[in-house]
Amino acid sequence: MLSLVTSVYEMFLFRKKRQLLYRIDPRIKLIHLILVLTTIILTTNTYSQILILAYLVSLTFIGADANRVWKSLRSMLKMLLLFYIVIYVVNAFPKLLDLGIAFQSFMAIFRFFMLIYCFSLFFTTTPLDDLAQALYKLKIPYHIAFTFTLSVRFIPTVAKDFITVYDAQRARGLELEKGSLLTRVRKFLALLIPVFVVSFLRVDRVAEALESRAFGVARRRTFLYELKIRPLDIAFLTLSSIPLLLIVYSQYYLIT
Amino acid sequence: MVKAIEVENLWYVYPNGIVALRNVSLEVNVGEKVAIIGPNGAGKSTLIKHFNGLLKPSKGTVKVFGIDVRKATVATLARKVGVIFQNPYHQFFSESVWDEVAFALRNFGFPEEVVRYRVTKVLRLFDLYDYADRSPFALSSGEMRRLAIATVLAYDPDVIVFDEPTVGQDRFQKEKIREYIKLLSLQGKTIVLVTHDIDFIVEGFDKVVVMCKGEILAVGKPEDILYDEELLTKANLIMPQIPRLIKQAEVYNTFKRKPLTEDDVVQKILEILRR
Repeated sequence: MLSLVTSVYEMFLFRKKRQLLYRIDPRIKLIHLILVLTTIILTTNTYSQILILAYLVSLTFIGADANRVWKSLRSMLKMLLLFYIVIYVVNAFPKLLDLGIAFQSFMAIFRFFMLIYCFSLFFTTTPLDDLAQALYKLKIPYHIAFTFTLSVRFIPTVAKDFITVYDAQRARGLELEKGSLLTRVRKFLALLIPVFVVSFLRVDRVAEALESRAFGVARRRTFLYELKIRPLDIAFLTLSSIPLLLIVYSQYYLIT
Repeated sequence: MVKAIEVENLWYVYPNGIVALRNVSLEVNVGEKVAIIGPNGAGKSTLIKHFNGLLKPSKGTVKVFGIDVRKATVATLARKVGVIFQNPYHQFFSESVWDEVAFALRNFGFPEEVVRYRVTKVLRLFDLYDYADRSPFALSSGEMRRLAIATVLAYDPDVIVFDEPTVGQDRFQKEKIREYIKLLSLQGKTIVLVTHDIDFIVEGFDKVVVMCKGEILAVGKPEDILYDEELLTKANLIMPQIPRLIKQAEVYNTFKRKPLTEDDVVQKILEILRR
């Protein structure tokens, strides 16, 4: 549980680095994200899925901090394994062993993993201020763009609160791993309630801070550093689209 | 002397690679009152999380009453070391003050009559008995702080660790916390207090530990540590008011023992006036 929270914390916490993806305009990265997601949805066969994974891994090593991306994903693997077991059992029941269903279930989880991978790659390399500006430049009202990025910004904070609460309750003898399922669910309340309370209090404070600084009064928004699409961004989008298009093409025209 | 906590060459590296503790060694004797001071990010909180096994050493050893924290569960160690966290909101979840105090006791498997006896005792001690049926969230911040201490004292640990107890507290509340620490000390408890509020530790501590950037810079008596300007500057700390005043007035030699509190100075002034 804690490792999953740590994963979420790592995924949504931006730390500035020098690699390629960190320097790409967020609008371009957003288009790229949509392209990859579309490719994952459009392709269904095993080869195409493996090619997409190979593409994402290459992109990670070329343009992102592979160590951070891995940290944000590794604990998700445990959760995905659990999902896999549930999907398999639900589909294979009453049979115990069915290789066909085992493989189908694996592919479903594999696609889900790649969706998480794409988002991890996007959020670990994109500053949220830049994302808010990008959304605003894409004609989304600033208060909506800001609210969205603010929510994302608070994910690591809530994850951190969760870890603190977990420590505080363990220090009072709470052992989540002991007891029946019902007991464990009841014990879980000892974690959830403080996290909710702390989050609501924070939301209240943030709302007051925003209002006291006249948030939303000016209709037009200016930025200290304006985002500009440069030749590097265009080159990135063009070059990254080629393998994706080839994967989709191969799915429909080459692999039968 | 019996050792409550023994830390030997402790290193701790967080999963993100940050080295939080570097070769830390420290001993806390039974019944001792120890203050750990240092700026933000010095590694103070990381160190105390080893005392009840919330963190396990990356290298080195931490022993609590001779038990290696690596080999014991948090629940086992928590019976011996109670940690009072900085923000009470991070632990309260029960519907009533009573249940909040009873939570740890029930976790540790105390019989219900013992739970009833201990909760009553501790709520009376902290003037919270009248609020037993109230929600913990309906209390004032001072009462919440008292409740947080009560939740730990209820299961009677031998060592009590306070993590930044004075943050956000007014002078009156700080004095209350000081009184509770005195009271616990009289009961023979070992106290470890982590703070960057240097003025809070001028009174009532046997030992002061100065930490900075994951290392222990010095361990000594409060009067030695709090008069060492060079050391405090190195740890990004400001000398407390009284030592600063005495140093600036250069009347250091008129005192038998280096004064730390207003009372020490007032006593001296009265002594001079009487002459």
